[in-house]
Amino acid sequence: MNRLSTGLKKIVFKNPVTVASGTFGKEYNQYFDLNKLGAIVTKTITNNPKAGNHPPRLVETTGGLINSIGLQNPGIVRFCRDILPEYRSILDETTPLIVSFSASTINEFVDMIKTLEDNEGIEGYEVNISCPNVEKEGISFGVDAPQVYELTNKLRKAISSKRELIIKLTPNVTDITEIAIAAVDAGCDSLALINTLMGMKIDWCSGKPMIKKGFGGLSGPAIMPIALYNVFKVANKVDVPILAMGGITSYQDALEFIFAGASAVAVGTANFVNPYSTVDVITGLKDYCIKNDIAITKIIGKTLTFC
Amino acid sequence: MQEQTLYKVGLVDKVKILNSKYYLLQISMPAKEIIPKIPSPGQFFQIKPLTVGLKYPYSGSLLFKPFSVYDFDKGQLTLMIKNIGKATKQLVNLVKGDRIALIGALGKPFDLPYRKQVLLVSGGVGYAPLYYLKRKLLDNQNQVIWLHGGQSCDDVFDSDIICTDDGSLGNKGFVTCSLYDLLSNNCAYDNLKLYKDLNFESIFCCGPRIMMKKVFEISWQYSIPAQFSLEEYMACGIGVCCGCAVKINPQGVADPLKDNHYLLVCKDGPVFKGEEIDWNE
Repeated sequence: MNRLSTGLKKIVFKNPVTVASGTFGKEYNQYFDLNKLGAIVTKTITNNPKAGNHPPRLVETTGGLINSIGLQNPGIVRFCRDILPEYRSILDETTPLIVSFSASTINEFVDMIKTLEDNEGIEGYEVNISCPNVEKEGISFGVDAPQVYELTNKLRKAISSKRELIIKLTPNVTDITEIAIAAVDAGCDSLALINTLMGMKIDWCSGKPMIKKGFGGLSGPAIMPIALYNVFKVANKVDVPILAMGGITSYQDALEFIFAGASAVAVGTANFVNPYSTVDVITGLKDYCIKNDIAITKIIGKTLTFC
Repeated sequence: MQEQTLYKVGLVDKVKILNSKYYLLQISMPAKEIIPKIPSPGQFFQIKPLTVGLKYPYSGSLLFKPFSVYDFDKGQLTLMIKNIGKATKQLVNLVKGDRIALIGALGKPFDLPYRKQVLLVSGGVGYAPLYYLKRKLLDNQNQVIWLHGGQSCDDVFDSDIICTDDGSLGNKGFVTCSLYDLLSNNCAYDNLKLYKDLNFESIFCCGPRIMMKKVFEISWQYSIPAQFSLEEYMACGIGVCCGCAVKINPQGVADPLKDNHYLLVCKDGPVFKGEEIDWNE
């Protein structure tokens, strides 16, 4: 019996641990077998190649990391031609691939999902409407409930396959549940949260911002309590599976998110802190389930019963 | 599939204090953790102290930090650390026997010539990668002249020509001024005259961006190919996060498919040909 088995609405995960988009790539396959993971989420792709933002793009803060990469990616054509086949050759049938993508108009989102529908080896879509580092893409959608509804609705209709439609939410809003409800009402299968929080760091000698754009997205252990609160809040309001992320570095962190209502979790910044974080989290969860003689799905949302 | 271990665990041999700012961190690799191949000059390691373990990031800096190989000899790796922030402070306070995680050697090394007359130009902690480079250049029977500059006498180390901004040691002024004087035979300082008849065929450079830009301009003027070791904030070190981007010189890049406008210091570098980089950024 696999005590770690979980899933989203349509995808089965052999364990609850995947990776946060943008923090992981097939490059890690030379160091450990990516099939150990519950699923893989790709870096976000856009329709056209994106050069990314002017450097400096990164700065470390206390317990966190601010990034302003700007969705650097080779575009959907080269993704489908080069990157997708590589993932297909690495991943076996037990490891679903979730493609993260973003666009600047609803029509572009729909065109992209149609292109992805024509390609094999994808089990789900994570719709990135929450990247704080690009001008037009992503976050301008993610902060507006009516737009989220319209976008999700159109994407839902454009999918003919059995693939999972996941909407990734930003915490940089007044009320995340309002956005979550819009996505669920429009027919998404599951929600991913949270994307990074807007943050900045200044060089105290010169007064210059440490990120070229001035600000970026804060991730890492520093944001975990905020992420956990958002997951808990959303899990209280909606009835779809949640893929939770935000500062997870250990299996104990992962458990907190699962108790708060997550069906699966993603490790992000911790991949840079300890490249084996994902594997360590899986091992820890497995030991926990054996020790307590339970299946991981039994504890999803348990915290809700205490409140 | 044969999996490599991503990081190795080394043991601190010694932290050698050079002066109030600079340190040499000497790390030995236990026999079973031997680095799979000898690092090449210009390559770097991502390192992180393990004194309190990888799982407790609050106790120190979160990320691995990149350092060029200062020296590598008989399984002992030496890194030069300039103590400028939280992470470097943690590194220079390590003591013998402390454990340290290493990822590497990473990145594209310097191209080494054979039997040539070559110039090394460094500024401040840019000295680090050129030390190991010089050893390997001498192994290749090159004649090496090294110009090194820094703000004051605390920022300079053994080299053929020393420059300080404040004149506290060696030639007063920027190292780039001495480089220009040397190449233009306008030898204001006697120590430059020694080398005025040499015919330099290659320049190797590492230092602050503004200094490297000037060295590139001089190398271009004198048509001497120059290689530069660049530095950027880094997270993964293996080309995943795209954090350590540097802007491409659109005229200088041979591969037009590189339409992404940026190169990554960790994967495409840290060593670049001068003409690959947009120095105006």
